[in-house]
Amino acid sequence: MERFICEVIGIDLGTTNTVVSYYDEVARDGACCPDFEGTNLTPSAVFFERSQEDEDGWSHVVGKVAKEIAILHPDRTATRFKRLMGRTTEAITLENRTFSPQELSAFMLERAVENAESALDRKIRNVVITVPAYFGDLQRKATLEAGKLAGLNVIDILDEPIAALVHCTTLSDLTDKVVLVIDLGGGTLDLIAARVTQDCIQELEIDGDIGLGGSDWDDALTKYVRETFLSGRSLRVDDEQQLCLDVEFAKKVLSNEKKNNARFVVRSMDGPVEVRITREEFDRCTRFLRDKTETVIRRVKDNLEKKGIEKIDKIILVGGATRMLQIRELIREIWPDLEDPDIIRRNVDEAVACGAASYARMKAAEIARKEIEAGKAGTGDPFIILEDEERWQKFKETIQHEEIEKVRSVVRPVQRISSRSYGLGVTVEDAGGSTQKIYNLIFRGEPLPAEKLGTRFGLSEDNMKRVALRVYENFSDEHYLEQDETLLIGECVLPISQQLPKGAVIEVSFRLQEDGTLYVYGTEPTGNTRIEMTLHSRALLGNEEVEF
Amino acid sequence: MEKKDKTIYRTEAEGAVTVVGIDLGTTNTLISLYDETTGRASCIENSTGSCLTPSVIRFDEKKSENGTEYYYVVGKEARESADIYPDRTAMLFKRQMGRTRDFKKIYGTSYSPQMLSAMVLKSVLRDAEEELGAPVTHAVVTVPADFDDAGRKATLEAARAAGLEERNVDIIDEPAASLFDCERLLNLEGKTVLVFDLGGGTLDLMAAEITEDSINEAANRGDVHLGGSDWDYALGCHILNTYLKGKEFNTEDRQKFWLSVEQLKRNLSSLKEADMYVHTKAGEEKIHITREEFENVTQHLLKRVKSVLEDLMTDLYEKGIGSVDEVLLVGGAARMPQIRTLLAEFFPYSRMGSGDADRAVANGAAIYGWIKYNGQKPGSRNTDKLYEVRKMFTPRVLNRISSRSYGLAALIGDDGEEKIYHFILKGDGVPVSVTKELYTAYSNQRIVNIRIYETTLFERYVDPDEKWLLGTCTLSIDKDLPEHSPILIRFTIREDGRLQVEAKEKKGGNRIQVELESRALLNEEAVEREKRRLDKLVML
Repeated sequence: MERFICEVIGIDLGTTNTVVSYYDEVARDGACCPDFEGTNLTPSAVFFERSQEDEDGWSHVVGKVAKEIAILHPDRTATRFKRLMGRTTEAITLENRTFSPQELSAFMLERAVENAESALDRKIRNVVITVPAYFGDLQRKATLEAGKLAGLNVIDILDEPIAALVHCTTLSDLTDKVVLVIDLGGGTLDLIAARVTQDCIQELEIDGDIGLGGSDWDDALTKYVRETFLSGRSLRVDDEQQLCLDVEFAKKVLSNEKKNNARFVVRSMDGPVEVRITREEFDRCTRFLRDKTETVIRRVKDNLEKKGIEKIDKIILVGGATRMLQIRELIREIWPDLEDPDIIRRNVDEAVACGAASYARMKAAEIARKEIEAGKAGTGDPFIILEDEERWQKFKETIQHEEIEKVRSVVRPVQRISSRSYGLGVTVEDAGGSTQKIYNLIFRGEPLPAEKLGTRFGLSEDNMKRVALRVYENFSDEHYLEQDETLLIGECVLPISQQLPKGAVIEVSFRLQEDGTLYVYGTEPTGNTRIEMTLHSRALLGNEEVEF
Repeated sequence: MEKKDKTIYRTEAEGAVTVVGIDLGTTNTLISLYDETTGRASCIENSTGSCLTPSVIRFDEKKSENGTEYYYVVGKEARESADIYPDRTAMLFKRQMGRTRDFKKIYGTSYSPQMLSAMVLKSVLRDAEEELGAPVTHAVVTVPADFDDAGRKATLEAARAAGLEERNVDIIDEPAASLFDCERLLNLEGKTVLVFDLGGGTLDLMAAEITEDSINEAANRGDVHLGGSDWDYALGCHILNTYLKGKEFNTEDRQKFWLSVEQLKRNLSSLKEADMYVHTKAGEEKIHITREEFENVTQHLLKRVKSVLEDLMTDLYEKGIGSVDEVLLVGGAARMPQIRTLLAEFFPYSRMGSGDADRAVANGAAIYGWIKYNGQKPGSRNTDKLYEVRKMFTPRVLNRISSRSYGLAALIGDDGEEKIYHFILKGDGVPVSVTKELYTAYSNQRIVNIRIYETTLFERYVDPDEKWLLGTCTLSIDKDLPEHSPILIRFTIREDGRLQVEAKEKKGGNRIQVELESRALLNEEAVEREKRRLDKLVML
């Protein structure tokens, strides 16, 4: 029996690292494919060099090399572009060309797929990509776009902490437990509380901070080293680069319980400087980051208590930055009685990708079963996931066999209770007609898929020719909130075909998909014209660049 | 519905053996554990979050009222401070395994390559034991296929000095180990595979035919003095001669220079051109190198690779094997585009596969170890899940061949010309035991001097050359025998490639097991002494 059958892989497209995994049928869990450069983690960094074939063109290099020369060529290296996803179309501008975060992410996805193809000896087209639970609609859409640019068929987008939880359910029996996943990666903090039942994973609470991650600890420590050891000294550019790498290494050393200090030598123009950092110093200069983390964790705890959930059975730590002792201490401080959060123990950086692979396998089986029920399998119609007839037969046998029950018991469907962390609304005029407000149709924390159908709004004037539907994302739990243009994610125009009096009713519906994609429908009173909106925004690419 | 509780490693079982695979490399060392529940082996991360522990040791001293205490640090920290403390840092000692007993003197004490290797082993074993929460009882350590007898024995001595029991340690050739890992995902059954392993210090080639239940080694070739670090050296020399003529360095800058060269080489595997910064006494310089330039100045190394490849193909032809189906690239230096291009020219019709270039060897060793120490005992673990894994995972038997010819000096023919008479030829299957009858040269001969040689030649008789001498011993005869009395001599190569020689006078008489005297190896007592010495040193 082969280990890899389903032909769908999981990709953790991270802020600092990208990881790719497949579902191992023998072991019944996700396993990583190594990168060309030798680890399972490919640094999410893209470096551009002048193409040799085309004078105006650029060729790109991703991964470790790009990360390591980032400081030598800051103008030609893009890093941490995940933080820009869905927020801008310009992540890096070279002399004659601009690259969007989607394009840069697509380069990372291409590399991930190459790694998988090389390890699995098979062509890969279908993927599940993970995103922070905190990602909003635009960011999720941008992620989908990246997948399309890389020529991939993205069968689903999965939240990172959920992926980690799925991975943990393949390692240990968590049935009937309330689990809190704390995912502190290189760039984002992502928390999810969920109850694992026999048949599914129910999300209970979601929170996070999209701008807090391990790289912030690196920055804080670098700043401290500069102020304490290097004030008044100047560094050459390559020594600057070395300093950044050394600081990251020092952080890792100090994450080892047995080490109380880390040492390295910085070369400055005025001679070498020996730097010695104790754990106490490290904790002190990064205290504000620990506090930021604590705020988010306590908020989740409070919100759970409000929902009547007083006890958490298990805490799962995911993401490289949870190796830091201060994070482990913080958790012991908040939950002194809890057993060690050690299900994953090692490879905390790989759990998300492995979980995504397990989820992908389940999704593929689900699609396959539907195909079989629809009778397509017998008619020679190629299955959408497995184009190759022989492999499709093999997969069919696997999932028809009792094996599938075991897989299902390990990898459970995810019931998304609240994976929508933003509220979504449209602008309306308040009763007095003087000010515009945002009116929320879908609230933060509603289960998915969510629908709000046929909400009725009155026209504000006589004989309106069109109504602009402006859609906003927000964090509020209120029905009405102040208009804020920075929250605008898109707008569309509903044309009105005949003259209508003020107060005539139009209907607006929101439908939010499980992958976080939002569809907006508008109907005018006569029912003659309807619109269906795909969100337009400055942050999304034009259709000419991506074929949907 | 089945409930499942997967612990990562099963150590709770009664009398459990915990097997690790260790890739004790010239530049980096890795340790791997086989996980029964998944049927996969995976490398253990060290405290810096990497699987690769640089095979570099730095010694520190700490003076206090109670005298001076000595410490040592293994791995990345030692590697990165090598430019600051070159005099008390030891690296690249694998190249001297089995060649010398004194590698470097630090703080007035001389260290053997075995002892230094033992320190690296201790460091990775500690990582594994922390992970397991239990002591490691068994280990498989890898060696280059081209390692000679002394290199293999020295490796075992290192394992013993690191605290492992001799009977619980096995060695396996690096390319063979990587096959055990790669076949997990690649379907290699029925194929002829060439493993191309170019590491930091050695080039190791092995061709094998893989059947349903065995891996049959067909040929091996290598060069224990050709590795990625030679490319570093060639590139560095080129830069010094071309761009930095007449420039002077201080010691620290010179060390830093070589580290930057290594980085530059790695960058040029991905980039078509790259920069490096050099600090000389005259100030800072930026040096720009293109991949083409790099490939030009390392042509001679590529030629050496090519010639080893050609030799291997000749060996294969002689065995009636005309082509390979799959080329597996292993080792960090196999990433260089010039290597890939060369292999594509050599094997235009073969599939080029790369497993996990850095970790395949350690993982494969862990799998091999598990088969060896656990896998042959069905029922020792009574779980259905394990059975399922075993069903999927075919424990293949590894059939090795010898990488050297072994023989002794004898007077051949009527004119009594002295020749090396090979008992075992390079390419013979191992384990193997060959017994030959030789005769005394004159009557009443009381002492027979046995001179044992190890060569890389294929002929049965070759002219002796002292560079091949492995060791000597004497068989004493306590009674008078006529001229041409038969003496029996047996050469045995064990599964792990180690040589054993026994001699015996045919008609009863005393029997001796030959203890090879070697300049580089340690005796039983010395190994124990090294072990005690090592236990006293504190590893940070």
